[in-house]
Amino acid sequence: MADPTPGNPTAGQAEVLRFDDVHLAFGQTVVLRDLSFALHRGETLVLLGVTGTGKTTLLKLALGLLKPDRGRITVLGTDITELEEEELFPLRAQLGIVFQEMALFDSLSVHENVAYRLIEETVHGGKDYSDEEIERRVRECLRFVGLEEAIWKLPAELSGGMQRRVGLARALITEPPILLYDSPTAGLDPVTAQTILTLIIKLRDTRQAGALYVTHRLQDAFILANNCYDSQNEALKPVGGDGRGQPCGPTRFLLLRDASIYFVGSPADLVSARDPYVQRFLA
Amino acid sequence: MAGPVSVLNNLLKEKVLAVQDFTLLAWQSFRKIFARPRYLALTFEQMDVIGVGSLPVVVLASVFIGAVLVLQTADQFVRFGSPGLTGDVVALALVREIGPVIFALLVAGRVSSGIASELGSMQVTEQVDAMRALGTDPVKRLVIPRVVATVVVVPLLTIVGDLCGLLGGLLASTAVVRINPTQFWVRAYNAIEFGDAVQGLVKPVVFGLIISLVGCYYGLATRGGTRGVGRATTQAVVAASVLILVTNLFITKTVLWVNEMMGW
Ligand SMILES: Nc1ncnc2c1ncn2[C@@H]1O[C@H](COP(=O)(O)OP(=O)(O)O)[C@@H](O)[C@H]1O
Ligand SMILES: [Mg+2]
Repeated sequence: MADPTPGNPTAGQAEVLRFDDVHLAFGQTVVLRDLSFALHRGETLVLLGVTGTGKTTLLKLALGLLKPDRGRITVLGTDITELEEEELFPLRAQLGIVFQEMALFDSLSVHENVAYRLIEETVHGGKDYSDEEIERRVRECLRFVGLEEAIWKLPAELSGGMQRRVGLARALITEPPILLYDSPTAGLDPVTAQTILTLIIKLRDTRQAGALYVTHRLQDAFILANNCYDSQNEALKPVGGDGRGQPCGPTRFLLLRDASIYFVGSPADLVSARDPYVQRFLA
Repeated sequence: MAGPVSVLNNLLKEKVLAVQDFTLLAWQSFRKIFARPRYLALTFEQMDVIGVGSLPVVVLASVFIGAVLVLQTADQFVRFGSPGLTGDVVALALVREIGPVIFALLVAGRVSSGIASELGSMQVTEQVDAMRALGTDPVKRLVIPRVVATVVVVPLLTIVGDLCGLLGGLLASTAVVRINPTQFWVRAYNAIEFGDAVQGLVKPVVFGLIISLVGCYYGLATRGGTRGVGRATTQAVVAASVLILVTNLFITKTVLWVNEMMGW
């Protein structure tokens, strides 16, 4: 299994996630038709497409929540297509996901939500985390998303943007090398959306995780592609300005249409594409 | 394209698939019931929610059912000169049939709908997917605690309900029909044989299984946002109630047959 040390500038070579001719239909409707792509460490793959093109479905396939009708899905070198649910559980610790509907457990506190995986592994798995260690790691993740003060609250007491950030913190607790974001800015006001994007870029540029970023908002995609995280000012700065020397994760765009990949390439390729559908999508 | 035959065909296919999924869920629950991890704290929490929560309605309903049974039957027995039989009839009807079925229907109205709406909300807000993504089996964490809690609690509720029903009958027979309360109680107590008790306890166990599994199935099968949750809730109550009534017939027949075989 190729697993280069984090921070290695050539780390972009290692594949963390791979789809080979993945096909999935719900009844008569084909949602994904013979789809193939690969995601590399430190790379962000932005999945674009109108609502209902199967973006969420693709993420669920990557997690093994759904099984493809045919084709092969490889996570960190392991073929997950044939694995049983029990065998998938340890592998899923390598994938952090932020759901579109946030999916926080509403009967549990923020602390219990973020610590969920650690608590489960302690109480029911073989691991043995002390309460102190769990709280320390939860606080660390919450600090990363700027919500440490909300640790003892219930999700219902938080705003939508705060819930999204808790969802992000929950995905981070195991420091997964692959992150899946399902429309993380959907339904948020522009300021809050910018906060979430900044966090995601910070995560990309400080931890070198590979990411699948699902969105139907093109402006998000370009913010991701054109900015780096400036850890001195704790803000974004544009790529290519004075941002020289800052390793900034490469970004590719992948446009889904009619169950297939319609376009894949760099942001510049997308902008310069002559294709009428791409042009319409950009407009 | 979508002629009546193909519509019917699709509907049929859908139903067959639903039965298949339901059976699969039931099978998985049985298979994993003793597997680790076990969520004992959650199971006790569910017993509290389901059992203690349903107690008032079962107690209240049973007292009135017992009383009305007396009113309906006592008249006839008095006319035939054997008012003591009232106690026999009330006891047998309650323990064998009316108790298990009516209490199960009442609990289904509360619990199947409650489970379906809770799991349904979790499903449409992707909490169930999140759970799986975070390494937890929803069958173990959500389904089994509810099934175990319901199967334990419904028979207990039925016993309490039967006793309260007899108490209601006793009150009615003393107050309205003027039957000697001691006579009522002794006749009622002696009327119940071992076979009746078996029947009266096998039924609530099976009904508890139906109530919880149907609720879990419709909850986890919920699609289509908040409206889907509403639909799942209603469907769960209807399906659980119908299944209880249908199963009741088969259990009754089986238990009567076994009784005869064993001479209970
Ligand atoms: N569990 C399911 N059963 C049947 N159809 C589904 C299911 N999940 C998704 N779909 C269908 O698959 C298509 C893609 O859905 P989705 O992946 O959620 O799209 P997106 O996230 O791009 O908006 C939609 O047409 C949706 O109705
Ligand atoms: Mg989606």
